[in-house]
Amino acid sequence: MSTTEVRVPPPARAPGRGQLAVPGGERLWARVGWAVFALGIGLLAAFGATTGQLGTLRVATTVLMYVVLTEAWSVLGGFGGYLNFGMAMFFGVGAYTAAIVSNHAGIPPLATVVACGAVAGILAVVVGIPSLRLRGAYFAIVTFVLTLAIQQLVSVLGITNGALGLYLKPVSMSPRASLELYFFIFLGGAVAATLLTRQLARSRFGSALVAIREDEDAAEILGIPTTRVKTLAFVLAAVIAGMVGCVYASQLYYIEPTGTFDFAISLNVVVGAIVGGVQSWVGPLLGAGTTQLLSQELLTRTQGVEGNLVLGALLVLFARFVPGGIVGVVRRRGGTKVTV
Amino acid sequence: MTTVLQVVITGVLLGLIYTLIGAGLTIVLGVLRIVNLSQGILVVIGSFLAFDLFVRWGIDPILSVLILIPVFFVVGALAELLFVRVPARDSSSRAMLVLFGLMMVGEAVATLAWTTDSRSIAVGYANGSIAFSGIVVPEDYLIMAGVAIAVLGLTELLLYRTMLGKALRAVGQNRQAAEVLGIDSAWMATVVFGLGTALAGAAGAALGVLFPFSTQLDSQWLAYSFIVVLIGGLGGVRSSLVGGLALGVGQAVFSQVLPLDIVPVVLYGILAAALIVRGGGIGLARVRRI
Repeated sequence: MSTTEVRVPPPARAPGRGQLAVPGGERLWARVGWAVFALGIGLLAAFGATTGQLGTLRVATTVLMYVVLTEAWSVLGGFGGYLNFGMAMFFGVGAYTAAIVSNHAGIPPLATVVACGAVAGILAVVVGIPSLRLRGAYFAIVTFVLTLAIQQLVSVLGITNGALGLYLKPVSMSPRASLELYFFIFLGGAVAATLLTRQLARSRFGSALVAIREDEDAAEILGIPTTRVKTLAFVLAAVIAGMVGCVYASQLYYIEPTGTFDFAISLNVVVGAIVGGVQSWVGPLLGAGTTQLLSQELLTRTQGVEGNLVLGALLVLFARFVPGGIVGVVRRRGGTKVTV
Repeated sequence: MTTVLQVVITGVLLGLIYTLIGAGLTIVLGVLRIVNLSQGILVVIGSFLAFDLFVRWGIDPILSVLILIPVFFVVGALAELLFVRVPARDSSSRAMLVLFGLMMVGEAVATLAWTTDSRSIAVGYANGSIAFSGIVVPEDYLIMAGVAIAVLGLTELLLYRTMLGKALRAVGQNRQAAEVLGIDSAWMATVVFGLGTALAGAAGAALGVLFPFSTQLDSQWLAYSFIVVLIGGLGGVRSSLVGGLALGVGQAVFSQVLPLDIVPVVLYGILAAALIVRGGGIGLARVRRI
């Protein structure tokens, strides 16, 4: 991207995406936002450290995990407008890398997190460069089919122990302590992923992705290396999904193909992003939070089918009637026209 | 030699039915540039409805096809009017998101209605077979392939021998120009969506006779319809026939020479490789007709 000639005004001064284009009000809103954000982290951390209800802690951990995945997805899916239905694939590849590497090298699964991200990232490069050279629906189909292909492959390979799955070495801690450990890992991950997405939204990289979404031909003419930008965003999502998969595998210490490459993971991410609103970094945070809380709640009361029904219906309703998601509604009510 | 012929014949018959699934996808994609992600679950629902019609009222799946086609047409047309039309105006990925949601809803509703149990339709001709000079052809394959040929033939006639078909193809080629010529492209979108859905329903009834089915089969049928479109390209019935027959024969051959649990891996693997290496089954195919 260093070769582009286009000069974009410094992000700090321009009313970027995720901000209100009202002079004066901008700074106030930003402060309120930061205060809410910090308060949220503080409350969650206090909750994690003190709560006695392990079930609630487990739910919170899952919700935070989806916040990480959804923030990562939203860079390409939201800013770039390219639908990636393959988060489950990278998640699963990360989980299996953790299991195989840690079992062979005799190290704790959590220590393989970098390797997991790297393997998922390499896969994304191999898949992304050819398929992102093309436009539109093609990429979505590739990610969908590859998820199925890799799931099938993992179910028959010897190194992955086929459909029987693999065991990992659990951390030697009390159930409570280990649950807290994973809660704080995912809390940290969620904060990091959110801040990263926010930073990217204000960077030239983020602007390039938005330009691609709005008009890819125009973006190309303006000198944006579209394939490279899209692939980078895809690889970023994959690396994060791979690392999340690693932590997930370590937490569960048993993985098998159907659950680990479950297409529902990709679905949950997409639903969270669309419900929250993909045009800003706040959206995935809100969307993944609300949809996952809802789905986890339904999961404890029913057998999960109703959860999928509700999530599917939410996706239909938001994509059809509320394209800006929750964030879009809030912004419109605040008197600012949603343009991005 | 007879084994080879046997495998090829089975593959061709199966391929004709796969063509039905692919044709539904390719027609919608060709005219509207939208990938109908709910195609797979529609096929599954078609199988279940054919099952219910058979078990409750003893209606033969061949007749069910005739019932399912108009029912699915109306459902598809309504879905287009209510859910797809507005997002499609914005972008095709928003339309795909809606269809993705409809797929989830369909899957959940189907699971609530029919549970996750596997079923099969035990028609009288399910176990029969016709033998000539050493080649044994299963009767149900033969009958359902016949049904597929009839449905595909009628679709081809509709697309190439009627004014409606001409209008549909015109919208696929150039929407603005078609509108200038007085074609109501919004109405054509509704029709084409209904048509694609109807083909999925018909395919569901046919596949329900041949294979046991359950509600989880939707992603497999969706993937198969992708394969048909990617091999055959866009362009209505004839190009789906290329993709469908290739898939059917390929699957029959692989099932003969490879262990059974490897077959899906090989099929998806070939598809994935084709997607990545050839880089644009759909993209390249777009240059062709429709």
